[in-house]
Amino acid sequence: MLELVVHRRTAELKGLDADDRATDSGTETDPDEYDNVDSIIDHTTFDQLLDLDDEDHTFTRGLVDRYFDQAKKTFIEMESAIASKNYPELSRLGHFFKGSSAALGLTKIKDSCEKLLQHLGNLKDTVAAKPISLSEDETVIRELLEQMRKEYEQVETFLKLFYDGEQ
Amino acid sequence: MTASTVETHPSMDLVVNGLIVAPVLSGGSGAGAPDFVKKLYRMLEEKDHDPIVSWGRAGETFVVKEPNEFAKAILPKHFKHNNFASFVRQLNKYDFHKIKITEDSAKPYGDQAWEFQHPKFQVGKHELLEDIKRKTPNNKKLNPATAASPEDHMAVPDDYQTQVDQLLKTQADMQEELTQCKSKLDTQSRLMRNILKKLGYQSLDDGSVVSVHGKGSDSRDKSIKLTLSSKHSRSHGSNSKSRPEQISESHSPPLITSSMPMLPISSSSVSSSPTPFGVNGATSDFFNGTSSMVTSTPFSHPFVCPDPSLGAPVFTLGQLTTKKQDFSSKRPKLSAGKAAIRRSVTQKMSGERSSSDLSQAFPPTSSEDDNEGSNPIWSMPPRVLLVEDDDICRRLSTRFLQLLGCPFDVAEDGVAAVGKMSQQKYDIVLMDIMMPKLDGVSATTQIRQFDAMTPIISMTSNTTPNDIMNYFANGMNDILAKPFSNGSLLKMLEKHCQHLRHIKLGPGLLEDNNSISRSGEQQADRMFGGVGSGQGGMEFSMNYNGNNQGQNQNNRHNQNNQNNRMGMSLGLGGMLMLSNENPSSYPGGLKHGLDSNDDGNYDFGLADMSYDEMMDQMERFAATTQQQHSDHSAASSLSPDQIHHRSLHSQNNNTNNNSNNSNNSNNTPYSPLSLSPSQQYSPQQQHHPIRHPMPSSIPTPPSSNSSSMTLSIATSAAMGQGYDSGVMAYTPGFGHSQQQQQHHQQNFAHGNLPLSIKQEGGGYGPTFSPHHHPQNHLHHHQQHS
Repeated sequence: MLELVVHRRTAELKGLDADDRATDSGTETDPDEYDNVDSIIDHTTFDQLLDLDDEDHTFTRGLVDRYFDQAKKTFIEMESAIASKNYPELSRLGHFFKGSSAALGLTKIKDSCEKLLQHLGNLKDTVAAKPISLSEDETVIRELLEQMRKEYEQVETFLKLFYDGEQ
Repeated sequence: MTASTVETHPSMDLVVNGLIVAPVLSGGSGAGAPDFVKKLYRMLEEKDHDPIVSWGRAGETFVVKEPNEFAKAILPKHFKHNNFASFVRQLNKYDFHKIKITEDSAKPYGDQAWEFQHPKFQVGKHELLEDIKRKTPNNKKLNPATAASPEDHMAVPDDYQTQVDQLLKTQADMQEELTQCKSKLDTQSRLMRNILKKLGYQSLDDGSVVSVHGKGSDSRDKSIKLTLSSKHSRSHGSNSKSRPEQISESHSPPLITSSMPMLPISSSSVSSSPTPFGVNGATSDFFNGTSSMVTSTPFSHPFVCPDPSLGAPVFTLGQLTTKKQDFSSKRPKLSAGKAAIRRSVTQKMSGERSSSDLSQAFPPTSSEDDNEGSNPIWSMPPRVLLVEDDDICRRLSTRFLQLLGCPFDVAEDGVAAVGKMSQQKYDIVLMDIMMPKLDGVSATTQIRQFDAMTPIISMTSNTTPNDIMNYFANGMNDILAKPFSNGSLLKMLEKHCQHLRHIKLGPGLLEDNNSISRSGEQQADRMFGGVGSGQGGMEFSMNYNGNNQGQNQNNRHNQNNQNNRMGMSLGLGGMLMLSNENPSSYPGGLKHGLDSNDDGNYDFGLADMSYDEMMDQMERFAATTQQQHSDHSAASSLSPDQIHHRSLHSQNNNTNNNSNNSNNSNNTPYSPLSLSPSQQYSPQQQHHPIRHPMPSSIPTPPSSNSSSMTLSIATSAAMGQGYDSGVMAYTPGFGHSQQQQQHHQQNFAHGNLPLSIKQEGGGYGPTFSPHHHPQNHLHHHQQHS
C-alpha cells in the first residue's frame, strides 16, 4: 500500500496525469513500471521514512538534505583517504556512509559500500603478504568509489525530483 | 463661649451654640464641613453632654466618657441613631483616630472612655472642620494622617499590574503549549488518516473501518470489518489499522483513546463473544492474505485483553509493522499467537487466582487512558538512550521515538553513552556498534559494570553469529539489525519495556505480563506466585540458524538472519511462553501459530492444557533438545541472564517437543516451550530450575563452525514478541563440551534480559536473582551436552 504512495509519487515524477495524483484511492500502478526507480531505492525502507513524515515531508526532506551533505563530504574525505592510503579511515567512512544509505533505503549505494568495505577488509589481511597489490587494490577501490558516486548521483536526482515534485 | 452672630451660608445649617461659625465655612469650598462633623462639633458644644462626651483636656480631642449613655442619650439626639459602633465607624470614615489607652497611661476620663482625635477637629477651631473629609483614596494622598496609604496605593496597582502581567504570560504560555499539543495531535491523526487511506480503508462514522476498494484478500476484508464474530477474528482488524489503538466494546469508551478519533473502530465491531482467546486464526489469515498490505500496516500488535468491566476484549495495538511481506506475515502472527498464547495461558492460570488479585493487577483503565490518551501503547513511555554516531540514523531513530512519545537522550559515541548511563537511568538503550572513540560492545561492557539491568540493544548491520554472540557475551540484551524498520524498533521497545506497556486485561484473564501495573512487586508476585499465578513462565526456544550450514535445513532463520527471528528466552520466573509455533505441529495443543507456514488457524491449545501438562511438555521438549544439543557443538556465547540455551532446533522444532531428533526437528524457528532444565522455571516448580545466574566474563567464542545454532529462548509471556527483531539469545553451552558449557554458563554476563522484570516498582519485572538459579540445574544441563 505504501507502494501505492510511492508509485503515485513516482508517477508524479514522471509527469503523469494530475488526475492520477489526485485520487487518493488511486489505481494500483504496475510496480514493474518503475523498476529502474526501485532499484535505486528500496521503497519498503523509504516508505517507512515517509511514514514518519508530516504531510509536507519536512522531516524526510531534511533528512535527505542532510544525507546529500554528508555524502558529498564523505566522497571528498574518501578521496583523500585513498590518496593518503589511509585505509582504516576509508573503512570507517565507508561504514558510516553505508549506514546512512541503508537507513534511507538506498540499497545500491549501500551495496557498493559493502563491497568497498569487504575489499578493504581483504586488503588488511593481505597487505602484509602482498604489498605489491596495494596499487592494484587502489585501482579497485577507486573504481568502487566511482561506482558509488554514480549511484549516488542517481539517487540524488531521484530524491530531488521526489521532493521537489511534491511542491 | 459667647454666642455670636453667625453668618450663615445659605447652604449651611450652622446653628452652633457659642461657637462662631466661621465664615470659613461659607467662604471656603462652599461645601462646608461634612454634616457628620458639624453635628459632632455641635454635639460637643453642648455643655450638657459634658459628663458623657466632651472635649479633651487640650481641646484637641474629644472624649466619650460613657459610651453607653452616649449611645443611649446623645447619639439619638444628634445623629438619629443609638449605635455607638456606627458612630465610631463614622469617625473612622472621617479619619478620626482613637487614642489608644495603654496600660500605664492615665485614664483621666474613666475606664470606658473613648478618646478621638482629628487634627482638624479642635475646640474653637470651627474653621478647620471643613477640612475634615471622608477618607477616600484621593484624600488619603492628601491627608498626612494617612501618610502610609499613598505608598500602598501606589503599590497596589503595581502589584495588580505585575500579577496581571504574570497571568497574561502564563496564559500565553499555556496557549502555546496547547497549540503544540494540538499540532502534535494533528500530526498523528493525519498520519493515521494517511495510512488508512493508503490502506484503502476509510473510517466510517459508526467507527468501523471498511475497505474502500476491496483491496486485498478476502481474509483481510473480513478482518478489517473488525467483526469480532469469532474469537479468531478479533484482533486483527485492528491490526490493519493505523496507530495504536484500543479496540474495545462499544460500551467501554474509556478504553478507546480519545486521541484516536478514528479508532473507535472496535466499538461497533467487537462482538459480544467474550472469549478471551481472540487473537489467532483471523489474524494470521489476515496477514497471510495481505502481506503486501501489511507492509504498510502501522501499529498492529494485537493484544487481546478483555475489558475488565465488560468481559469484552480490549485490544491494545502497539506495533508498527512495516516489514517486508514475509516478515510482516510472520510477525503479526507471532504477536497474535503470542498474545493468544499468553491469554490462554493466563486464562489457564487464572482459575487459580482470585479475581481480586487480577483486579488489583489492573488499575482502572480509565485512569490509564486519561493519562495516556495520546499514547495508548505505553502507560508510561520508556526513556530511551540512543547511542549512534551517524547523524542520519540518529535523526531517523529520534524521529521515530518522538512519534512514539518516548523521551530520549542521545549519545554520539561509546564514551558519551557510558557517561550518560552512569548519570541517568534509562528504560532501554539503543546502542550502535560501530562508533568512533568507543564502540558499542566495549561501551556495553563498561556499562555492565555498574548497570546490569537496563536492556541494551545493539543496532548493527553486522549480524553474523559471531557478532551476535559477541554482543550477548558482552552484556547486550538484544539485536536490532540495521537498517531497521520502524516496526522492529517499536517491537524492540515493546519487548524490553513490557512493564511500561499499556495493556488492559480482563478480570477473567490473568494478566499477560503486559500488566498495566508497573509495580515490579506485582509482577513478581505474578511471576512467582506459584502455579496458579499469572503466567507460568513460558519459554520456548527459537531456532537461530547462523550460517545455514545445513544442519537445520528447515531453519528459516537462515534467511531471517537479519530479520531476527529469534526470540529471546527470558524466562521470567517460570513463565511459559509459547513462541510462534506452528500450531498444527505442536502436539498437545501448544499451538501458537506464529509460523509463516501457518494457515492462520491458531488453536491455542494452551487453553486446554493445564499448567502441569504444559510443564511436562516443556520438559519433554527440553529433554529432546538437550539431546540435540549434545549432537552439535555449536557454541555460543550467551548473554548473561538470558535464559537462553541454545538448543539445536531445526525448523521442525516445535513439532517435536516430544520427538527426539538429533536433527533439530523444529520446524519453526521457534520451538515451543523448550524448557530445558536450564531454562527458567517458576521458582515454585521445584523441578524447574530458574535461570542462569549472571556470569561475568566473556565466554569463549563458539568453537564449532556449526552454524545452525538453535537458540532456545524462553521468553516470558510478557515479552510476547520480538521474534522479528533479531533478538537472539544464545544459551551457551549447548553442544559445547562440558567445560565449555560450564564456562559459558559462567558467562552470562549481564543483567537484564529483555524480558526480565525488575522487582522494583516500575521496573522491568521480576528479575531472577541468582539464587533462583540453581547451579545444579546448569550442571544438569551440561550433563546432557
